[in-house]
Amino acid sequence: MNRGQHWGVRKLKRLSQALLLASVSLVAITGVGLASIGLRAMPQPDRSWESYYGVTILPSGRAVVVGDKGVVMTSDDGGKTWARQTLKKGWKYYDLYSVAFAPDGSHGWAVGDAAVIFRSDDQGLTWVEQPGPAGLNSALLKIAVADSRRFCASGEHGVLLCTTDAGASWKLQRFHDFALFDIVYSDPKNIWAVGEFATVLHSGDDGQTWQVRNGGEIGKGDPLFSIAFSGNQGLAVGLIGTSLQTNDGGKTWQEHELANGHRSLYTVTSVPSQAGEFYAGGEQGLAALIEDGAVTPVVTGVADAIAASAFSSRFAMATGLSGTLLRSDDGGRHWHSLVNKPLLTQAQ
Amino acid sequence: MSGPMKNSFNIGKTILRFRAPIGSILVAITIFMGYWASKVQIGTRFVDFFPSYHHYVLLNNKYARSFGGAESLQIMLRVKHGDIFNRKTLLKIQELNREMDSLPGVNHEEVFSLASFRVSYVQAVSGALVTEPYMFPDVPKTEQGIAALKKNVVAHWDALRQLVSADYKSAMVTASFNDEAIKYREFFQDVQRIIQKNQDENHEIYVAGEPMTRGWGYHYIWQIVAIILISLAVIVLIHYYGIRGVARWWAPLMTGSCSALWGMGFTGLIGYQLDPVMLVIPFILTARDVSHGIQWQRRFYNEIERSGGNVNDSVILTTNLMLPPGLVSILADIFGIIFVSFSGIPTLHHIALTGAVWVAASLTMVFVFQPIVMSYLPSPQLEKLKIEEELAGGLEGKLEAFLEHLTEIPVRPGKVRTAILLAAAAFIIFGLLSGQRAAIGYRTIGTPLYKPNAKVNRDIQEIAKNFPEDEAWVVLETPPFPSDQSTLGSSPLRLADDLRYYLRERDPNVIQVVSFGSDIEKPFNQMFHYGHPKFLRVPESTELAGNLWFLYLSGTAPGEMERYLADRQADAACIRVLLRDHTYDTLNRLLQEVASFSRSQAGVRIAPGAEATLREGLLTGPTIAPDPSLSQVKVDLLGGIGGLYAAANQVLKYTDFFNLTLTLIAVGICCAFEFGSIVAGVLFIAASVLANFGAFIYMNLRDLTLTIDTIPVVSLGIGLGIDYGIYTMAAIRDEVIRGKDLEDAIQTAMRTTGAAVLNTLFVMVGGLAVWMFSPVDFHTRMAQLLIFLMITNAITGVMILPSFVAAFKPRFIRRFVEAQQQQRFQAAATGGGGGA
Repeated sequence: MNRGQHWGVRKLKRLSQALLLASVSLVAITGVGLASIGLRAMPQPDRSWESYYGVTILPSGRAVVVGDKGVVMTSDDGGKTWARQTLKKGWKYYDLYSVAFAPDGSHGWAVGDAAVIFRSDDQGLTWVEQPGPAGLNSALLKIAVADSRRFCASGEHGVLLCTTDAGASWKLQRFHDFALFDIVYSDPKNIWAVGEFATVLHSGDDGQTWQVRNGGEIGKGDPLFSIAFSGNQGLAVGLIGTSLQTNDGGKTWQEHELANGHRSLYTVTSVPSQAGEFYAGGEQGLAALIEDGAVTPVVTGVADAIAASAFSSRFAMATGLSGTLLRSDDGGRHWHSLVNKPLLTQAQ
Repeated sequence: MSGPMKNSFNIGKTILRFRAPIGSILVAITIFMGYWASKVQIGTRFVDFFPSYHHYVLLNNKYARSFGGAESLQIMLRVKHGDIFNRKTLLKIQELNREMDSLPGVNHEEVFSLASFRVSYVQAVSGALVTEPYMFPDVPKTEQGIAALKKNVVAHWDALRQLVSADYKSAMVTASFNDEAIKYREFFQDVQRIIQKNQDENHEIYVAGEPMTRGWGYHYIWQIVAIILISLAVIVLIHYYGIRGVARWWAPLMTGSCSALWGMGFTGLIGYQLDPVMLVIPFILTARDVSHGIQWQRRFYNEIERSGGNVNDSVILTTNLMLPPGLVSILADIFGIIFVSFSGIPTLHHIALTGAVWVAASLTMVFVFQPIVMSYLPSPQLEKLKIEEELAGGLEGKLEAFLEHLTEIPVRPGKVRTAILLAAAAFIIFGLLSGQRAAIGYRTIGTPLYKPNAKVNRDIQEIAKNFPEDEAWVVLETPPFPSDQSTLGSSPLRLADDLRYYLRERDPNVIQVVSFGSDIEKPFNQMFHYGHPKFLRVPESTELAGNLWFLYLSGTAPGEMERYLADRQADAACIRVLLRDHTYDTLNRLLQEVASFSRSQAGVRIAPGAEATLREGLLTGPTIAPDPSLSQVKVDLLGGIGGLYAAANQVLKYTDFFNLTLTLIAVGICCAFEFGSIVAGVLFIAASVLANFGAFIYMNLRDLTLTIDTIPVVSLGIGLGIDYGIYTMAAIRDEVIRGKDLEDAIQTAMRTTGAAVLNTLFVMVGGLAVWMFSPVDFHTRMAQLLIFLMITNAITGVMILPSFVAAFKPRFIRRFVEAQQQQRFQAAATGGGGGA
């Protein structure tokens, strides 16, 4: 018994020593890794001249944000500190509008102005330029990634760009000259894109062919800026309260005007902790939780447009113009700024 | 006759022969100048403070009409409790905007505040893009209206950061002014009235800007005039006491006044204006004039005593003895100041010319007019017959007694003399090193003209906590629209926007960068695309940018676009960099960063004229291959008030160097001629360095820097101070020529001329000391500096140079000793008498 107890204590000690060693090593390796590529995590100062257009949260909890002039920021502590780098194509820095990673959390892509595409194979730590289709120069506004080989991007001038071999070859199509603001996978087989004139496009074959599911006619309907799915339920939001809803995985769409004071919403994301609930952000810091078309306003404390949002099981992040970086720990009900900058509520 | 009188041309005799016509002409000129002196105006022309030919100033002048004047006024309204978003405060902002817009000389297109119709944001409405002013024409009347305004301001705060503070407790009203139209005294009073009217228990008002900084000088004008009068009175008193009111005590004051009339008359005749702060310079010149007069009078009394009261002989002899060293001294004075005119800075040019005329007038007044006046007067009645006894009870007598104790030091070899000479050598080296490190330009926020805790500086510091203080323009010069490389092409627009990010990211002194690309095209492009945030970017094509430009033009007041683009050709754009201050480091850093951005990131050409100004250490980093889409675009710098100050910094850097070098060379040449020896020239250059480079030690210790204001004063100090050495050395030489041996000659010169030198030193120091009570800190510091310089020069002239002559017996003095010895030897050999 005594021996057994001693053994147990010794084992516990060894285990705790091993754990301590492992965590020290992990911290050291991460530190060396960050230092080796010139990144140092620091609290985010007020960079109100800079805008952040895209955000994603990896399975590891790492948040990756992209924005103006090729900026990529990563945070491993939920946004308390950020490591920052700027990506350039040749000598030029281009705005990055969207970032997305494969479910494994390792392989990701960022897209932006002048059709720039950057690729990361190490959870966003380092990035390399990935050549896109020759001659493509339109801004890529959004990217959606199915896995480490398949992803699609949408953009200006009706661009729908997909690959099934991690960018070795491309399928580029154009839908009129429409701006296609958002593209998502509702599941690994179905891709959805939304854009001007209430357009909803669908592809079930990795972007080889696209079908119009709504709108698509020049001059008819307000633009849709973002689309998201929660199981079979889908929500697309757009200009001054415009929205479309589906309850059958996108087979049918119903128009619905959101009761949000006729203001535009630029991003919508499903809330993982609450099936059928969506978080939407928009102009002048507007944010809301939407469930079955019912709008619950959310106070963000910012007055700048919210351009993107991402949810993980632990926390959520929203980014936008003039340095907006927000975090929520309760499924998007309350938000606080990650930037040292007076909030509208504080100023009031 | 001795040395200088051995010349066949007897200048003293000639002057007296033609004394009536010469005297009449000089009186006539003095009356004429007196008339013009009455026309002199106290005034300030802001542009005159900057080098007119410098690339930055030329660039500023080229675009000032479009991009706005460099003279701007900033009024900050700060609430003690709450924030600015209440009706009372907003009404005050509106009132301040209106009052600023009605100030004389205001550029109506350059008045900005929350209440200005020119300060607006873009809004997309159904089927149109509109620009909406935040608070024009009316202040919101309801709580909801004020809350909506606040939300708008907060949403666009980055674009408004020069008008609303980060804590929303301060609002700024700014306006720029046409330099020619500003009457600073009235302007200052108008602004004070606006402050009084709008300040209350919850609202404080702070004011900054160049017109205000200059305006304070006018506020203090009567105090400055009082300082001038008191300091002149002190000069008279010290001088009178100095020579115990002996016979012609008033003569130096007469010549000083006449020279002042010439100098001021010249100022009036040419049409220059005197800035109130610069009034210290005429005072220094007058004091120096009086000093020359005192030197002449002192010698005159000696000659009167020697000749037993023969006025004519004494006048001729004094003129002959004093004119050559006087001429050299005055030439040194002139050279000390004239070279600053080459700086190209009109204010310095005016000071240099006026100063040169003023000092040159001393030559005629002291060395020509004074002898003539003396020759018409009876012999001064010396009660005790001997000038030394006459002066015994006065300051000069006491100085003589004091110097009597010191006369042994230079002539007696020993540790003390060696120590003095070694210390002098060390001081030369230290001074030269300090000269190398002389700091240029402004070092702190606010103006060094006034004390750090003066109201003007307190206001500037308070404003700087919340808002940018200065601005500089980077100008893009391009082909006209519709070229893809015009200012409306994607690449040039992107270039301007990239520069904004580059500077905001890297340079903490840059508070905001405003350009057509960042502030008009990007928000218009966003609104044109449904307000979608991802379209807050430079339009992708020139055609789209052109259309957005047209949309903007159709919704704005005439003249508003010119703040960004010089004209409708769209071939020049202003990138306005708002800066924390205009200190030397801030401006140099900006120049360096813009150059680095252009060469290392953008691949765009810097305009050749601008590039030439950056060669001294500001062109750093690698150069990338030129961007073909910017091949016809030039980045030109640096306009705005920041550009003007940067230009002054660059010019002052070499003005100081050239001025010092040329002045020293001129002093060397003059002294080489006067004493007939190159060694003498070199010796006086060393003496100048010794006595004057101490100024740099002093400036480094007191954190004084070389600015447009300080350069002329420092230059004057160098020219003026060396007189002491020249007079003393000439006196040693003359005593040797008169037959004294070297030691005796040195001791006599130290007692007589040395005493006169110290007397003039007291006159100068006494007058300058009064300036230390000036409300203008610049006067206080300059007075301290000049007192320091006068003392080091006096020590050099009265103690160190005689010690050097005694120790090393330079040939240009020794040869007269040898000549005397030879003469005595020959006289002894032939059995004749010796002596002079």
